[in-house]
Amino acid sequence: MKKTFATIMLLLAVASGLFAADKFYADDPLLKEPSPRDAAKVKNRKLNDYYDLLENSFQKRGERNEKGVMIRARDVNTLDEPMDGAWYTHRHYWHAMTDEQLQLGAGGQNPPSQEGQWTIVSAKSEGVTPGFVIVDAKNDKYYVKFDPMKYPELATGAEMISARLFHALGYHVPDYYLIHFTPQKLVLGKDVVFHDAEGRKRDMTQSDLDQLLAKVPRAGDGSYRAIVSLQIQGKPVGPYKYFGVRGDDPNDIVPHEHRRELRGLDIFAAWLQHNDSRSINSLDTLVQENGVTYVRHHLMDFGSTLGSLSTWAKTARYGGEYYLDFKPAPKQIFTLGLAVPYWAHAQYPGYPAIGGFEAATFRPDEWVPDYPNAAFQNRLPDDDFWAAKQVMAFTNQQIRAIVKVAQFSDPRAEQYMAETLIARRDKIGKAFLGKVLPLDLFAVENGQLTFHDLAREHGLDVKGELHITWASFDNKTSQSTPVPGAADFRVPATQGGEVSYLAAHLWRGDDTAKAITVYLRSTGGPTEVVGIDRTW
Amino acid sequence: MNIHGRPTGRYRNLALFVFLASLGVFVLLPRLCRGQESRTQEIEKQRDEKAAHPNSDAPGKVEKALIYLEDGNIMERLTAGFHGWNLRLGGLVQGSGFALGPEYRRNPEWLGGSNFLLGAQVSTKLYQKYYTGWKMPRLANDHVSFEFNGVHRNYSQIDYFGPGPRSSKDTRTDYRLEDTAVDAALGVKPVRHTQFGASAGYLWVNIGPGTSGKFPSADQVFSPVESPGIDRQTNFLRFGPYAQIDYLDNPDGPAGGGLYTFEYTWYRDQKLNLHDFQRMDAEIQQYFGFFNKTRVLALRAKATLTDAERGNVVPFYMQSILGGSEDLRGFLPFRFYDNNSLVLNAEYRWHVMSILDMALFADGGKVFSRRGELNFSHLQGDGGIGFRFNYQGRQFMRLDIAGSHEGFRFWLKFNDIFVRRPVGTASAQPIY
Repeated sequence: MKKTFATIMLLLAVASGLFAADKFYADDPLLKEPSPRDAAKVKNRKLNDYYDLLENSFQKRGERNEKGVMIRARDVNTLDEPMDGAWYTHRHYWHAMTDEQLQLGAGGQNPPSQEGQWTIVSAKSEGVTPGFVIVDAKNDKYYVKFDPMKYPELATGAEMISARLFHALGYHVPDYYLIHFTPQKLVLGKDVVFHDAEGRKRDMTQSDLDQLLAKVPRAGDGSYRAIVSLQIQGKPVGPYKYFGVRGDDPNDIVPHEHRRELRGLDIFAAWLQHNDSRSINSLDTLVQENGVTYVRHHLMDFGSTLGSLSTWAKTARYGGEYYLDFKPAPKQIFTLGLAVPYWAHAQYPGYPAIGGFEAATFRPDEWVPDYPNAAFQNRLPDDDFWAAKQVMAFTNQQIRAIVKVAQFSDPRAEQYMAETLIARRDKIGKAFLGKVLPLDLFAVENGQLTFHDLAREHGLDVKGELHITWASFDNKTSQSTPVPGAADFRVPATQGGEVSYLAAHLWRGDDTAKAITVYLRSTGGPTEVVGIDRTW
Repeated sequence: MNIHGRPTGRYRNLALFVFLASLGVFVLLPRLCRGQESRTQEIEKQRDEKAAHPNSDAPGKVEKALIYLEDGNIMERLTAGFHGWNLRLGGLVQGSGFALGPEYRRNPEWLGGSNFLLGAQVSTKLYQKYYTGWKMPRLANDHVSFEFNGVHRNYSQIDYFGPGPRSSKDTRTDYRLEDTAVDAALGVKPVRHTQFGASAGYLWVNIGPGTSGKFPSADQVFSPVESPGIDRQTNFLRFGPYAQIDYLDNPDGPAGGGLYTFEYTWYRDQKLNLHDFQRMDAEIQQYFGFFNKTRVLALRAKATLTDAERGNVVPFYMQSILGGSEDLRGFLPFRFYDNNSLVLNAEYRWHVMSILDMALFADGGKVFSRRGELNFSHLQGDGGIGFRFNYQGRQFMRLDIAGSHEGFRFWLKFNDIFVRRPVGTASAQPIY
């Protein structure tokens, strides 16, 4: 009997050694998504604005992080980062962009041609501010939007600034330009289909055009200021949702509520007061690369960011409560309104170009978009940290440079906008960086483990010194064996075969809950950082 | 098995085989089958599995219906109408029941933009209204306005409790008000927020028996001495000046600023030479918004004074009226009639959620026969609570619950409590 038992145990040991899943594969960490499968069969889908509001307000869609259930972001590599690809691209935080690059945004090299006229090929009259689609002399198509009559520079300024920031933060966004033109620059194309104020489709006339232009502010010299966006590359197939996956897209394998860049978008949206960060303001397009058609996911329409509501200035509620927020209602009802919500204390500067944007009452961890968002609600401290570190990467000078693209005519408005973004940035750093041990950008240089201590770099309170222990790490069994005597940042010598792993465990002061394990791999050549595990 | 329950040799081998087989099936096989050697392969395998089982993201029935409404611009068509034609809901006098009817609207851009209106409405109580209007609010570079209004109304059961502030709730009667009016107003806007003007019009009035059936007709209860004009009605030529200062922050839902209106109208009896009188209307609305206008104190004071020429009287159907959803909410509609009136309203409104505001309110007011009684004594009072339902910052419905010594009243209305009337003779009458 004993012999039999021993045989079984031996077999088990051999089997587990032979067949256990490696923690790290040879191609880890994957910095870029593997080449996509062909997704040419993906169909266009529509999303109704009101349905989206009701569905997200009254139903708990997607798989949620709830009490006792913690689902960490699933689209990340072993360095805990999303990969470059259809959703996201590592930009400013990892490869510091110059002021000029930040100002250029997603393109910056292809404004509408000044040669010849711009031909209007379609238009909309719905809403208070009109919009056109124009084709320029290069035959490029642009979407044109204006400011509301009472708030010159508000919506166009907000969209210019936010599009630059979202691009630098890694998202796919349209290529926006600010333009100034006189009515003579526009010419009405043939058979332009137009939805008039009564919702009827008919051919657009010059009178319609004149009436649309009469609804937007005009400068003293008779020119109009507008923002144009170059048509997004690829065939539009509708917006993405913030939960679930697109059923017909083979590359869309991680439920959106578990995507790091969608969870982290909540923090960026809070920074930029992008309460309109909902599905309707996203767009998927079918693009072709290397002969393969795949779906690329974009953010768009930033006219309701910062202090702008596209057609009006934001009121204080935006960011403070959901549109259909029943939670605060009983308190408001039974206190007869004497319990004033924190956001109602906001004070705005009164500049038309700024609208309702401020930093004094901004509470990053309580900020909410217009209605519940499954990905935003699934945020975990590591998602918060991922986003906050990127927000904090913008220096004061860089923020000022980006604000310049709004071309505010009032220098006080420009200064206020920059200072408000800086103050909100700092609040985000304070609120979220410390939710985990804020060390990042690990590398091995000259035999030392190096990293950025973001808490110290950004002047946050830190308690205690950093501690480190080292262990050799078995990639097959995930077993760690302490390396005796190794307690500083020098990488200990490794023993083992051709490929060996070390694990460095770091924490600060007495707070051992917030810790990081950094995995190093040595393959005979230079030692590289191959993985990061954060706990909190 | 032996008697101790231990496996015998043959069974021991069988158990070992079963164990190893299970190990193979449940532990090793999946790992062998996975066969991935890289992260790329792992991801590609997941993609393969997804590609093998594609799902369509077809919207459900509700979403499909909403998309249909959106694509067809159905809501725009319903609200903006079809070739100018629209269905108008509500808008008749209080107590009329549910009203609807066709309305034709045109907003041509010429003359700085003008609005033409033509409509007809009928209510569940068979109240009828036929109306037309042509407004040119922005003439002479927005410094001059002109408007013409014509209306015929046939309201079959307007309540009447008798004259004076001491009328009894128990003497409820009703009458038919049938009138036709044409008016024109010319306004000048010399500076921002301010307009002065003058207007003139003609009014034909007919009063008949009420049709409610639940209450006696007014002419059977009240004599011409108590209620002048109840037996014979007349036509009026009316004219007079007006002035208005309007610096409300948002006309659709004011939370700051003020609206001050003053009108003086001469009514000249064209048939009986019994009812020549002057009417003065003064109204102040003031709004104080605080905490980013999430709390608003809304105040209104409104006085109407009339002065009949020697030997003339103001007919009861042209007297000031108080009571109901727009002034004294704790009282029945049209509860008090007399030559003069004063009403004071105060509301404290607060934000509950984006679609709902609430309000605590108090109303005070009185009607009185002599102008010398214009003071704050003997006011009828009420108080209550209101729920204001908003869509995109605009109130579309209110539920007010008010109580007074005459009982509780519930008002479900689709207008603002401080209804904004057009200035000029067209609105200088008790039932507008």
